[in-house]
Amino acid sequence: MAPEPGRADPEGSPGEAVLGLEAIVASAAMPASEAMLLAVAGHLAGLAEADPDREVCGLVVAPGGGAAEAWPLPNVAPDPSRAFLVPPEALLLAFRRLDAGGGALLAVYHSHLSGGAALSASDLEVALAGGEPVLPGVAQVVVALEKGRAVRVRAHRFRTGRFEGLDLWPTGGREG
Amino acid sequence: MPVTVLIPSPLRELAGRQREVAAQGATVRQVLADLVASHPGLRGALTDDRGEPRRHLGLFLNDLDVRAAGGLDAPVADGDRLALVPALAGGAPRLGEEGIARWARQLLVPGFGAAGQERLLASRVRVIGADAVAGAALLYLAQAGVGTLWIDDPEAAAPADAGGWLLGPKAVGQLRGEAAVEALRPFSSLIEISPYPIGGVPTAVLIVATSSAQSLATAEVARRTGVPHVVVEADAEGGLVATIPVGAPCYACSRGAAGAGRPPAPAATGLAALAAHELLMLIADPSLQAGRRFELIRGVPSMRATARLSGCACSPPPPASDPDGAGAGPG
Amino acid sequence: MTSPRRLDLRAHACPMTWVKTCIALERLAAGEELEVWLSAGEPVDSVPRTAAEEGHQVVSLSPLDGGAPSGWRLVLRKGMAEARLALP
Repeated sequence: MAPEPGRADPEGSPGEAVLGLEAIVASAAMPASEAMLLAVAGHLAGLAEADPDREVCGLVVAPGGGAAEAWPLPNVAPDPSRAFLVPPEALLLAFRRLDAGGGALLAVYHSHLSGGAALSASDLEVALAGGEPVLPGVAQVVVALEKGRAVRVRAHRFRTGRFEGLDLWPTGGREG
Repeated sequence: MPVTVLIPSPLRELAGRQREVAAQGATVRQVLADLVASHPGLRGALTDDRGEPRRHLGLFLNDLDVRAAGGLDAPVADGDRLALVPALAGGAPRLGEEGIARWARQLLVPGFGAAGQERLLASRVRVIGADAVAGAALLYLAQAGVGTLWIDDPEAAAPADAGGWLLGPKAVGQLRGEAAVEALRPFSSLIEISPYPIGGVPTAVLIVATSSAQSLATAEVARRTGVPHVVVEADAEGGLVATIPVGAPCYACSRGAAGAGRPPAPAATGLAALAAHELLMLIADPSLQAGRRFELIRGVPSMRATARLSGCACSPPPPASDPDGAGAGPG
Repeated sequence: MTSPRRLDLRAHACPMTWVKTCIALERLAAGEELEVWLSAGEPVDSVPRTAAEEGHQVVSLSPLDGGAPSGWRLVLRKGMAEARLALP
């Protein structure tokens, strides 16, 4: 395979391993939740591009046995182009809706207008407490924008002491 | 009938898979403490490492946001329902291309790196004091890339303040804190510098107070709110820098018998820069836990670890009994 | 098995070549590999040496397709030593 000049910088929070989709598929060990996140990743990229001047955020849920879907939530951070903050009342309503429909929370997603798809220091500060994830079993999905265009969607899952990244979109192979 | 706590679905695994849990207490704060005591798995999700409720944790008492009902000290009655909502927040990394170019030399320090710079950029530092001594420290912190710099000094600038690194003669008569914010404007393209906002919660504090009494009082507040801090006191013979990470011997213990407040010697500028550097190290590496003090006496520097004076209020409380054996040590 | 990360630094001059390599290495776990493309001259002369001085292993250094003028491919393996901020 010819080398690809100009490929983007490697990304990942310090100490994080980033796995190529090819590697996961090759190992034939993709968990069901990863497959569901994969199905919704392109949609998340679209949501982020539709709001290129502020960080979008929300939940990825699997309502009552159905396919994964995105539930966007409001961002009330003082500077929404560099941070996101979901008002607790909106999150409370979302959790009640989830309970009522018998669904599961797969992931929390948000976008970065610049800086890549790695979890930032402020992302980790909220997602981790004492070195353990606050929401066990829930992936952290980041959509990376560059100049308003989505360039990457990466899911971060906590395993053996740190977050491991899995690129969901664009996929490793050539898109038709 | 105690209070019913409603556990949101992603946290139920940590609470024995229950949707609702009973807890006791007269206020929201007490109910939370009781909840965490009986379900230690929830400790990380609900409290920070000082045991306080986590920033942005949502709490609803009978569907009303507790912030509107009196906050954590709002009274609760038997039969009340308290809903919990974990925080959902974050943001893009603050170290961009421009920052990498600007802080390149700093990034290369072994052990500091991009992670350390990100921590600086994510930090909120309150600097108490903006006089001639503080000017050097303020410049140091701004140039190093502290993300949010809050300057807290409501005194009017006197002619003596115009002789430092930061404030010029035009500042005389203005409020020192505001004059410092103005003077630092050329260095604020990648960071935020503003007067200290009432109620702002800093992640670290630098104390360059003009009197020992103010140093002791503000250091004690920092200690009680669980914030790492550095104190600098300059006197005619030189002065003192005390580094106080969370849990280390407090400023009163560190200080011993320092000089009374006399006019600072020129070496005070160096001390202030050292104090700023110490604070940056505390922010960049949260694992630094030992307290230490630097002294400059008639030009001769010395450094030693600080030690608690017996009986001081800064001693950690004895460990509470822990039936689960899970421990409450640092994460 | 993770694939090596690739970083094209041919548009950068020193010291940014080392700064960016250093930041990328920081994000890896010990033993993981990083591939860096460097232009001829000072970058390819100094980055491998600095990396070795910092405790990383130079796995290989070879010209890119098109020969040396189009640049060099350096593969580094992150070293084991954990740097900490020096405090007595």
